Amino acid sequence: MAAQDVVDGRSLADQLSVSAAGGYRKKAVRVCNDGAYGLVVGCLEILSGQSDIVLVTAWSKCSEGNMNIVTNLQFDPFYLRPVGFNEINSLALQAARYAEKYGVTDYDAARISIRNFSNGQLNPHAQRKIEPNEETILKAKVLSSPLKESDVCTYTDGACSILLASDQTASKLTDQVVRIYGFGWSTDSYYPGDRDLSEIPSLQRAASQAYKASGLAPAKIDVIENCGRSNYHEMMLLEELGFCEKGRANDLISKGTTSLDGRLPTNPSGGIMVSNPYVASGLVRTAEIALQVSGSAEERQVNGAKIGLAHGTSGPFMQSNCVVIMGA
Amino acid sequence: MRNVAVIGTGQTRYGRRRDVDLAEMVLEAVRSALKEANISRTEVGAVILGFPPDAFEGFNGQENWCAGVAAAINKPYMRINTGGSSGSTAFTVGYNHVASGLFDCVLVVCAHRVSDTPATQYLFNTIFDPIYERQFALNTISMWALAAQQHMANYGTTEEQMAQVSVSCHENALNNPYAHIRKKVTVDEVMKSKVLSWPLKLLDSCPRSDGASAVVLASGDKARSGSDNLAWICGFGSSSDGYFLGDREEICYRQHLAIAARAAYKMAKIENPKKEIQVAELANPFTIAELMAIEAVGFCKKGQSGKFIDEGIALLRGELPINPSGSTLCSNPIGVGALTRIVEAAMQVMGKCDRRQVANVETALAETSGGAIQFGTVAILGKEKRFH
Repeated sequence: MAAQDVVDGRSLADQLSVSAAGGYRKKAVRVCNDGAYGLVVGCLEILSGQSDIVLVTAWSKCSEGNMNIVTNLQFDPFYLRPVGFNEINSLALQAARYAEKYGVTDYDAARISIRNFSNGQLNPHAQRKIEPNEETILKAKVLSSPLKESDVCTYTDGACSILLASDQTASKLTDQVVRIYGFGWSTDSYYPGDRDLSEIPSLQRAASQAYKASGLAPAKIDVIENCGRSNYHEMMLLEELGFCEKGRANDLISKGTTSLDGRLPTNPSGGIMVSNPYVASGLVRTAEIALQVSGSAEERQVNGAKIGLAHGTSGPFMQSNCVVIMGA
Repeated sequence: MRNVAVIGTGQTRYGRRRDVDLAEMVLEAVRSALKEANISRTEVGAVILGFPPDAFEGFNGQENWCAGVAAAINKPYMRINTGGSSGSTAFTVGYNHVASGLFDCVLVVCAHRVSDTPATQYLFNTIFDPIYERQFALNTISMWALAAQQHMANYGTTEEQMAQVSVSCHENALNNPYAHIRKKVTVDEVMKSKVLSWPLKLLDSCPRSDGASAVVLASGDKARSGSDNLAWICGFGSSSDGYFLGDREEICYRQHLAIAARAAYKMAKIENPKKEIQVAELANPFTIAELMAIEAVGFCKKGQSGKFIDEGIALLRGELPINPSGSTLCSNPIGVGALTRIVEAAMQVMGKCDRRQVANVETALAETSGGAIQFGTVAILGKEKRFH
């Protein structure tokens, strides 16, 4: 399981849900990081020989409270919390740093929003619908400069489950097996002053761990689902995942590489801009990749997708990151 | 299956810690565990943190804040939280990290500053369902009191038998330099102490402690047989129950813990736990909890734990010593206790318990409870490898 107490407004978020998640009188573990970490814990349980079949469930009920207050509580009570940090304004600091360093404009960033909201129209699980044209996107309300409402993730109620099984058991249970080739996860420093905010080194580490485990290079990836908390963060992400050099993500995007019909379709589901069940989002990304590589993604299917990469994140300033590589 | 061992343990002194904050307590436990294991921070492949519910410290995700002190920056790092059983659940996730072959050495660490919480029991009320159970003034004291009442009604257990648990634990804690409460008490004093929620009295109950503990788990080269710091992980079991107390067949019998114990014994190839285990660390935030754990882990039959205590089996020099550390009753850093039970069991196996050491420990058991008596875990540690 993956869930966070403060988001759900319960002092022990897994108590109520453990039975609903199938954990009644069974071994149950809950991680407080992103749902993709839940998948990692599930994989470790199988790889260690402890269990043969594992159900991974992640959820968040963001409508229980004010997410600005919930995310303000992520900051330490002495230095950062009194400043009034929350998720949106902390992301804006990172976005501003990235935009200034590499000369990225609002127009550049808007391309990602247009792509996400237009992909979101094909996704029956999408929550937020914004007209995917430049005018609407650029005129959206500014939340914390440079981030507008149309640039950042939304907050959603939702849950996601994935059933994992060992190699032998999986082939007995179904003909349509999606294989996990590799995963990696890592963490950065907590204090923003200790980092260059235009970079996410933990993601780079998580990705190289996953590439190494799977024996695959970035060039082999056909489709990506990521938890970039804003469109500027998606640019950083594509760089850290090794798809282009630092500062060149904008070129990749402006050439249409990440569009549904491009060479590297990114967030065919619309990503967390269209629906973000917070802690569950990373697990949703792995579920979307599983659908893509098994050819079951319906209207949002990427043609010929064989190998996909899913990303989940948690912590302020995208401090912790997890990467999962899967294929049919 | 890969053999995994505890190769180092660390504990802080438990109690009111005005001298340090949460992060500094993490650092204290991590440093002493790494020192005992004789390894550096860079040799740790991954870190698993067990932290209690966020509401306790009013912090949404303290794991992020503590990444640096937990030696986790630039490393695979995650946080586990299942309430009181966070520590042992993090321990099993750490075990999986190593047993899977992905890592050779990982660090598991827990910390809790209970004194940051102005009203612990008010907060515990909020673990109960807001619609059905929260209004009944349920908290951990009244919840265990309900179980104690049922145990008395169904099995004839007496308040004096519970008081005896308190007396032995307090006596044992005198030998534990880390313990919060180090004071001798008598059955009479326990019986006369203030009633908190009948039949539980003040001296049937744990204190509120700050503290941290940590273990280093390893396999392969780092876990060499013959080392002084080695306790092999022989078995682990974990299970959960339904959320609502009213759904349990009996509040005073922990079915889920019995399932967890059976799984642990099966993995450790233990057939007769009472004979094959030489010492047990059982979570006992309240005296009744120890009685219930004794039954569920199979040391005696259901309902017979009062008699088990009367016979003196659980005493430090008894046939099967229980809680030589004084356990949760004498130090309760809530989210840490589960790992501390494992630390104490590992120390017993390593023979490092000084005055609280039980003689000739080959195999030790550590048990915990989390949530509304909802989660249970059992870990078995031993001198010998179990898997080939």
